[in-house]
Amino acid sequence: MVITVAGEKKEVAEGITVAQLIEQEKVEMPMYVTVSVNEEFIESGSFDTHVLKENDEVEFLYFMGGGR
Amino acid sequence: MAYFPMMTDLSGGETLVIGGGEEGTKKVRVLKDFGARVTLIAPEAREEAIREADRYARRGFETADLDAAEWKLVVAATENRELNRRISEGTRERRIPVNVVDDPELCSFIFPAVIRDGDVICSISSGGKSPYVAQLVKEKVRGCWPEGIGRINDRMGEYREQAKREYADREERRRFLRERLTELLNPGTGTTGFTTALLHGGEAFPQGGTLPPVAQVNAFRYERMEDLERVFEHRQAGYAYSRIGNPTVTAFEQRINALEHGQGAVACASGMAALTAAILAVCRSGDEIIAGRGLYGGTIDLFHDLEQLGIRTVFAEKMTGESIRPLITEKTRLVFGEVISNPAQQVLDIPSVAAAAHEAGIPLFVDSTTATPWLIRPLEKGADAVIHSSSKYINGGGNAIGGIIVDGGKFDWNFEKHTALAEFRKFRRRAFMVRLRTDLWENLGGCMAPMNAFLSYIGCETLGLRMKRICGNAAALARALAGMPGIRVNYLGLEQHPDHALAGSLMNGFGGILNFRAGSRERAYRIINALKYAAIASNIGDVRTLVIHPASTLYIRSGVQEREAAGVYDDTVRVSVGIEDPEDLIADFRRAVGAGG
Repeated sequence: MVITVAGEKKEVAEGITVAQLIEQEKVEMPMYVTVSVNEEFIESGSFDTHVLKENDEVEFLYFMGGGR
Repeated sequence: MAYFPMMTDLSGGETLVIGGGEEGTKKVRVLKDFGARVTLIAPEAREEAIREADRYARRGFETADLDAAEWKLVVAATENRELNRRISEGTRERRIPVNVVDDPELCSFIFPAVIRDGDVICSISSGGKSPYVAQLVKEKVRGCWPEGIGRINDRMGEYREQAKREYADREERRRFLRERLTELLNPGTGTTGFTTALLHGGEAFPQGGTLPPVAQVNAFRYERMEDLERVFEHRQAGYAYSRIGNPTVTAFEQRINALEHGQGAVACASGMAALTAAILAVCRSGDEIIAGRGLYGGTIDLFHDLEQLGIRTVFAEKMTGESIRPLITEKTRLVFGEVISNPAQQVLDIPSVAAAAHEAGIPLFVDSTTATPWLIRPLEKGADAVIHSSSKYINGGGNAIGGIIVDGGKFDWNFEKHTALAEFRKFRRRAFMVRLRTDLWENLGGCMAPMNAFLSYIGCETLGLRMKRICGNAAALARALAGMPGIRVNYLGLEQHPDHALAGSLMNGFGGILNFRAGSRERAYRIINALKYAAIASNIGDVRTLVIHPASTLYIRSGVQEREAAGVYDDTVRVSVGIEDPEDLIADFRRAVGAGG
């Protein structure tokens, strides 16, 4: 399926979770990344369970500091 | 004699004490402490003995008294050795255990020196040879007594019953119980103890360094302008300017966030900077805060300053859910309290206050400086953000001023109510931390210096060790001070403190702050000036014991009513207990109290 990641369209597997996307995209400093999907913030505790859908728009944001 | 250390159940049993002087009174008291029913016989007796005893016969001993009940034991505490001998012989004939005060040869049992915490009892005996030796050993053991072991023991009793129900295999039961005991002794995650998790839970540092490098720089260089642009847009990991973010400070924030089990932390120039930023992130002019009385003097001053910005503080007499509910209005935006207030050591009933605040859609922020994550994790008890002056116990060495806000990330903000956060609504429960990091905190400019972050990062590594020692020392010093002439001690770890039970139910110990009243300001000053090890200094949480007269310093700008609500009187001496050898501290204070007159 196709989703948008940081402004770029990408082909990803159906049922991919946020955590899997972070790993797949080799997101830098994953311990500091904040994730929004369709402008809704995703709790870090939900990365493993939040399943992405077709046309989702994912942004990786960094608020450099301690803790997610 | 070969005394066997047998613990026997006296609860509800009949005991007889003959003699109502100093020793008889002590024996009545200790027997009552262990649940015995006490009959006292003496022609004259001290008021306390008469009051404590269940029955008192104002007359001399008669042999028939030994047959008046089924005595579990008899104590002969008269000053007449011949009478004591008669009592001893009579009880032995009847096979009743007998203790004769100061006469081991006439005893069939002796009273040990006892350390007790709930059902955990350590008894020490010198075989009747030297009460001074027993007392010395008692003090040594007390120095390494596990803080809160009584409560831990109660929990282990519950776990033991659970293990019997759930594990048929004995080894599995033992493993389960060992793991529970490790958790209880070391507040941490799962079976990982507090200090292990602290030392091994963080990020890797460049070139494999075991500590973060000190990035003592203002700005960070980029090879491409596009990358710096993305950093400013928060779309790329990186640092731009140390007021906004710095890798050394980030490492410290990570560490404290992990310790508090938070969802984000921002370090500040000081505890007061942290408190100011936290409040201004959620409150606007016209809003109200509910706070407890008895706060740290600097915090009270801040609340007065905030009045000038239109943020009004309503002070609750007691910080419980029941007390704050009537104070909540449509303007209330925040409830604030100190986990252990300094120096009165009032304890915030976090679950109760959090429940009341949350019912009204209001967050609870707490200052946990004097408690530290070692004693309690407020976010796990219902608080929504924790603030520390990291200058104190977290740093531990008194070498770096700092503060930190840790967000629990769980409060469900109502952005129609908390309009200060409305712009950040898309971050939902993280709106508070995002507003701090990207807006208010960075604009206020109260950032932590990189070197201070480094010093506090490494100081924090011994937090568990220091708190254990400090809490043990505070308890020992408090008990010693309680026995000194003209001294009234206020310490959360003493049973008579009104919040002792609440503290025991919420926390893993009672902290390192105590205060005492010396009778007059002049005597307080003489005692303070006579101390050798306790340094006269305005700080707490150092490895060194520190002492101060708070009324003339920390509360210099507070009114009498405000400071007395904080437990500060003209004759109050506050002690921040350090990690010195406890015997030296006790001797220092004993000498100083004597010198104080």
